[in-house]
Amino acid sequence: MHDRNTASARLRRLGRRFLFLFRRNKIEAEMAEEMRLHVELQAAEFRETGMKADEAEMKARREFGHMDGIRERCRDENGILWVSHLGQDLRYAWRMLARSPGFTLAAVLTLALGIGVNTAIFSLVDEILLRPLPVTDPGDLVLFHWSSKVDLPVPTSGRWERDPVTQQTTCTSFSLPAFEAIKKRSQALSGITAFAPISSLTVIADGQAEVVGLGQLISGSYFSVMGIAPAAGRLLEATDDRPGAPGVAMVSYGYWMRRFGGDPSTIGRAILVNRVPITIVGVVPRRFPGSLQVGDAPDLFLPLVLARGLGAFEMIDKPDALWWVQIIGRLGAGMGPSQMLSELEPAFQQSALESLKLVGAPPPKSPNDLPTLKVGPGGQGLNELRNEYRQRWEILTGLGIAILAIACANLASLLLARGAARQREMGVRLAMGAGRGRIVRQLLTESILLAGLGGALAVPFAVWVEVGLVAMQPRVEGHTLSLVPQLDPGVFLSAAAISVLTGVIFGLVPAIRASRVNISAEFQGGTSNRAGSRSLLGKLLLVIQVALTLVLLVGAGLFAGTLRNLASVNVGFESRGLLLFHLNPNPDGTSFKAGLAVDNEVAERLRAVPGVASATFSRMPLLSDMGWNTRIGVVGRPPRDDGHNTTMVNFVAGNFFATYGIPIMAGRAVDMADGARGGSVAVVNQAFVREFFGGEDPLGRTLQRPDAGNMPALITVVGVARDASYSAVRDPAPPTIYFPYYSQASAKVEATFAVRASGDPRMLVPLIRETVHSVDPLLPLDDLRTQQAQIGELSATERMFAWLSGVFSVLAVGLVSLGLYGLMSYSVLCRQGEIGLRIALGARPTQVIRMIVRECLLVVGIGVCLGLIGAYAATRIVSSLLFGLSATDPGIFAAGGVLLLLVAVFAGWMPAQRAARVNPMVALHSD
Amino acid sequence: MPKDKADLLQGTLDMLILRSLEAGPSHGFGVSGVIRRFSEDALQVEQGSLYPALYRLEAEGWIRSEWGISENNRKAKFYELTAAGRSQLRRETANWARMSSAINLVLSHA
Repeated sequence: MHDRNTASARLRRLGRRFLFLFRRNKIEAEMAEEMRLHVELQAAEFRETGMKADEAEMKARREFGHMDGIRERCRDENGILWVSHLGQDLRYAWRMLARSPGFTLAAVLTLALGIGVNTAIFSLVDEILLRPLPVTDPGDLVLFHWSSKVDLPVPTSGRWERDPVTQQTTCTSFSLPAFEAIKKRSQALSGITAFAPISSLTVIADGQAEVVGLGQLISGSYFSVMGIAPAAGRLLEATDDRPGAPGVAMVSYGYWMRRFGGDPSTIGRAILVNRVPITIVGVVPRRFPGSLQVGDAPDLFLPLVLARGLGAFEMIDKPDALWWVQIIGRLGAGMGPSQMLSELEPAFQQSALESLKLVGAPPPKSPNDLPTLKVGPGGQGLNELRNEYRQRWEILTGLGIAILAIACANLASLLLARGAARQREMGVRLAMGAGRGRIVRQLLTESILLAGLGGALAVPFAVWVEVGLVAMQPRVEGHTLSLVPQLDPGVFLSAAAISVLTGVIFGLVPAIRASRVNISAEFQGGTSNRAGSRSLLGKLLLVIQVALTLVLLVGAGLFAGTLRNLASVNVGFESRGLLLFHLNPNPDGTSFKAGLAVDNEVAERLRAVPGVASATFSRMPLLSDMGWNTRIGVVGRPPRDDGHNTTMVNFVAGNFFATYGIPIMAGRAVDMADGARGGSVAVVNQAFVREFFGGEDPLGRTLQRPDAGNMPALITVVGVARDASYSAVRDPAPPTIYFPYYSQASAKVEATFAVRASGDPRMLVPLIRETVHSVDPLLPLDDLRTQQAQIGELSATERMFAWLSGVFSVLAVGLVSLGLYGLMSYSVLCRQGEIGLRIALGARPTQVIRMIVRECLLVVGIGVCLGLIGAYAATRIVSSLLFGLSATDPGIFAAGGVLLLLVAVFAGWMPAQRAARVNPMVALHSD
Repeated sequence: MPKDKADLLQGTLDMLILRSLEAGPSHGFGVSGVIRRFSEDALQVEQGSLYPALYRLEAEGWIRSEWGISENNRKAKFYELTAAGRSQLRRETANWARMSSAINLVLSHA
């Protein structure tokens, strides 16, 4: 008659429904009132015909009918029913899910996996790569750096990078005079500040000594430029950064908690930092990590003026020539960055020229060779490391997306299969009078409930994954990330939204199909032809899953292979059974001799400890990502024309080569007695001989050091050591010079001790602590670890990726197997008639099995082909992380493909067996 | 064509309600009374069908409701035909005439 289903009519109905939702109580009251009136009027009518009052009332009420039922139908028309049914739908959905626990568990786990992993990964990516510092208007902060076509021969502390394309060197370190010059002229900036990291501070508080790994020196305006307030106490100010001002410091929130237990009396407490008296005046807010490299969170903030007193300078004279501070400014309103730079650059270049004069270097030939001043965004602090981390985290992001895709595909096929299985149930409900809309709504509720459960499980899972990821921190250049694992709600919601959307779509598809089902056909026929399109979608989903799984498998194989190759590298010394620790006896850079005496005393006493085979110390530990290099030349030979005139350097004490197990191939080792003999000597390694001596005998020859500074410029070679890895396992042993320890010009006696244990190295730990304590109770022992652990840390990134891709691929293979099994089972069910026919016509069981398995192999085969292409493209991204094998290692690709094909065979086996056992009579009749 | 028997009856009832409101606004009891009187007691609408139909018609926008005072001085919800309702009634009446004459043709065919 009239068409109730035009779009405008639908819209109008929808609108009314929302309206009624809010006025529910009023509507209910009105409805009741209306019907009461009807009954009254009806009763009045009956009374007029002569009936008695109460009889009329009863009859009227009876005739009206069941008021509640009528009211419900009215509500239905109004849409209030929708809300009151929600509760019913949820309960029913819960029961349905509980009835098929296998499906529910699989779906919930899949959701938790996809959402959880992605939340963890993206939260970390946001923290590391994207989030700006928690300061006022971080977008207004700019980080200064300079760029130069030629190497500036000034001493620089900090990172510098060379752009491979333009060959320009970029660096963020400036000299203090340069900072002063820029500060004077910075009209465009509303504030400018300088800062620098300072590491390994010895802190003595309450009679306890410990080493604080990282501190930050800041100029007086630092906190006003950042625009933050202290968590307790007061901020460091300009008055604290003047020569002669009393030494003060702020502590980080974490350090305040760890060391002082959050005690408010920490404010005003006097401590010693590198033997300098310091009063703690404030606590930095919790989320503020300083403005150093990503993940570096200093525990102490000290005024820049204390740098020399704290021993921050390696060179004790001419600190004005050292380029060591980083500069951040806050843009004021008005002038743009480029205009500001053109104002500041002349002053900067002038100070650069003065620096060159100070170190006695010639000025550059043309003004174009002067360094140019630049700015970049400063809202995230220093960002060189962040850029290096970027690649790692991009890979991680790729892994996360792959997992989400697999999870969604898996969820989708689970839902499709379930929908298909409930066809009959839908038919029954339709026949019993349930509205199609109601059925669709109820299935939707199920999907959403499932998504809700999955999301709830995803939260603890995400926390676990994130904590695990942070624990397996990918190291870049010796920096470990100090991150607070925290879940980003935005990320969680997006991952959840994607999964819920998948659930809704794929839960709805069979629902909509079901609600259109022809009821009678459903009861008469079997499940044959309808299966066609549904199973095609299911197969497509499986193909996608297989392809992604193959990519993960290839990744896992590549990383596992890399780890194996790294572990089997010969590092050139005996790394097992070696304990390392760090001592810094004179952190303020005074009394070098006294500090050295302490180190020697410790080494002597260690050698006397039972269980210690030998002990030594050196300036640089081996394979720790740290390095020291210097320019070198051989007297009597021309400098190399490839420009590689630098060598790695280490300063070693007596017993060094014996303790580390590096054999001396010719000549002798250096030892402490060399100091007494005067002159200066060194041991070189074989790579040095090859590169700088061209294979000639180096014993007795003289080396010349252009950047000697305070150290002797001429050195005699007295020995040749076998090649040993220096700072990276991946690189072959570089040319290395081993100087005697005393000959370093550094004021600080920093040393890494190495103790070789005759038994289990870990047994020596308490003895070592005792020994150090017996020499000086206030000398903290820092960073005690085994050499093996030290080496292991170098491959933390590879290990993390291997572990992650391994776990993910195992999970993915499991999901794919389940999916294949389900798909094949369903396919067999659908093709029962066909199979029965074949068997009746004489097909043998093995032929039937082969038919099913072939179908399975076809699906997986297509997936494998797609996966191979995808893996080929994807692994290019990780090729820089691999070692000893190529990103397109055919063996690993082939192994992954074969594994999945085998999975196909096994997954299809049982359904195939079932197919072979089909009774043709039953099959043909069931169709 | 209507999908099933329920649809057919529902459509017819809607038409009858709209017609009875054409005469003037009325409450639910009044509408059922009008239908009974106009059909000379042949059609007695059940409340179980009447009120859901009224709510539906209001949802479609063909009638609107207002609270007023009934003849026995009680609060009552009065329904009134809207302009859209009037055109809907005209459409449905025309349809009905076409259908019934077609059915008559079939039935009276020898």
